[in-house]
Amino acid sequence: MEVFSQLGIDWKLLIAQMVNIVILLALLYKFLYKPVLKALDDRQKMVTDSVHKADEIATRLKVTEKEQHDLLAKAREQAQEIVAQARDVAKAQTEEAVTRTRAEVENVVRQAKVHIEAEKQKMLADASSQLADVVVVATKKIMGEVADEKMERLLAQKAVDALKDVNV
Amino acid sequence: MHISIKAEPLFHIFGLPITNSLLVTWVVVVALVLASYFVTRRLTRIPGKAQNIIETFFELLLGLFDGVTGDRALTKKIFPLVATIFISVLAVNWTGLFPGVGTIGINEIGHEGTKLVPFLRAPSADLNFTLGLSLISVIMIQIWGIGALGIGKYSKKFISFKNPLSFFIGILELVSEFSKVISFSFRLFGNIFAGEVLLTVILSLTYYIVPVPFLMLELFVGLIQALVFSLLTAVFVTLARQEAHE
Repeated sequence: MEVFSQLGIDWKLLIAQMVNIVILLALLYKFLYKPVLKALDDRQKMVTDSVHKADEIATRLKVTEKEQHDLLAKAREQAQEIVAQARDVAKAQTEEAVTRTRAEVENVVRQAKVHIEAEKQKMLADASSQLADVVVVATKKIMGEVADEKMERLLAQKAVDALKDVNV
Repeated sequence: MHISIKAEPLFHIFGLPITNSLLVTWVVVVALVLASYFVTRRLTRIPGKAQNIIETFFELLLGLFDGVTGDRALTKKIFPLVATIFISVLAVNWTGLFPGVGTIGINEIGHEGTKLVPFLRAPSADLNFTLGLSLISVIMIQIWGIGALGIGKYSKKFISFKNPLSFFIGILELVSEFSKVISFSFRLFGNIFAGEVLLTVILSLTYYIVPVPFLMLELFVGLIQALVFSLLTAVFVTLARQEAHE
């Protein structure tokens, strides 16, 4: 067409220029867009990953701190419990020992009392029998031959009874 | 002073006219590919200076297209195309500002007297380049639109017999798809070609100091046109992936 050639449009040149542009696009895609866009994406991904990782680390740190804190609190509680238990046990043991000792002492005292009582009874019995003899001898000495056997016995018995009444 | 709207052929290979703008396109392609190769050859986790610059540039572009598409996944999908459009258009626009481009050449004696045939010409000051880029852009817009909606839903945007209004709107949509090619290619061509003409005129008037603000203006225009081309492509792709309004 006349107007096209007037404007310098030549289909051969037009196709040549289109081919040039397509070649430029293909080569720029290979050497420029693909590598640079990939580098940009990689960097963005790296940044996103780093931020995520940092968040994760912060969260984990918080959790760990809390765990540590809980653990410490629990340990402290347990320690206090153990100490309290030990104190209770010690107190109980002491009390038991004291009770036992007291019981033993009381036992010993009681036994000693019983023993003493028995001794005393025995001594009294001895004393009364000896006294009877003494009375008999004394009566004989005082009365001479006045009293007979029967009287002697009666007197002695009376003396012992009196003694018993006084003593008991 | 002779200003040619066409790119001038320098020689022919197998019937293909090698124009000065085609030559510059090749140079730009090779330069861009080599530069990318050397920059991305060693990418490290801790970026160096070059890597930092390229990464910042990428983040900027991704953010820019995210603002248009509103979806990082779609941005990544169209990124190779729109980034190539941005980078190549920026590069070819700025080649026209290099000293010697458009000024060094041979004088050819034709029917209308002598005319200068420059060895180098900014590719975006040649409709073959801008039209080629527009065609690629619009073809990809259709492909991505069909990919998102399916051929049935996508064609409903253009062919609808529901009511006369939607039929009419469908035809308008169809026309607008073709007008995209024209507007893309002529916008870029017009801006850059006009810039070259402006610089040629200024340079023919005076050589020192005065052209400097115009050069800076053309640097800016080159950047703006690269942004416009790539952003509009992103906008059209995003629109093409939306269903027709019922």
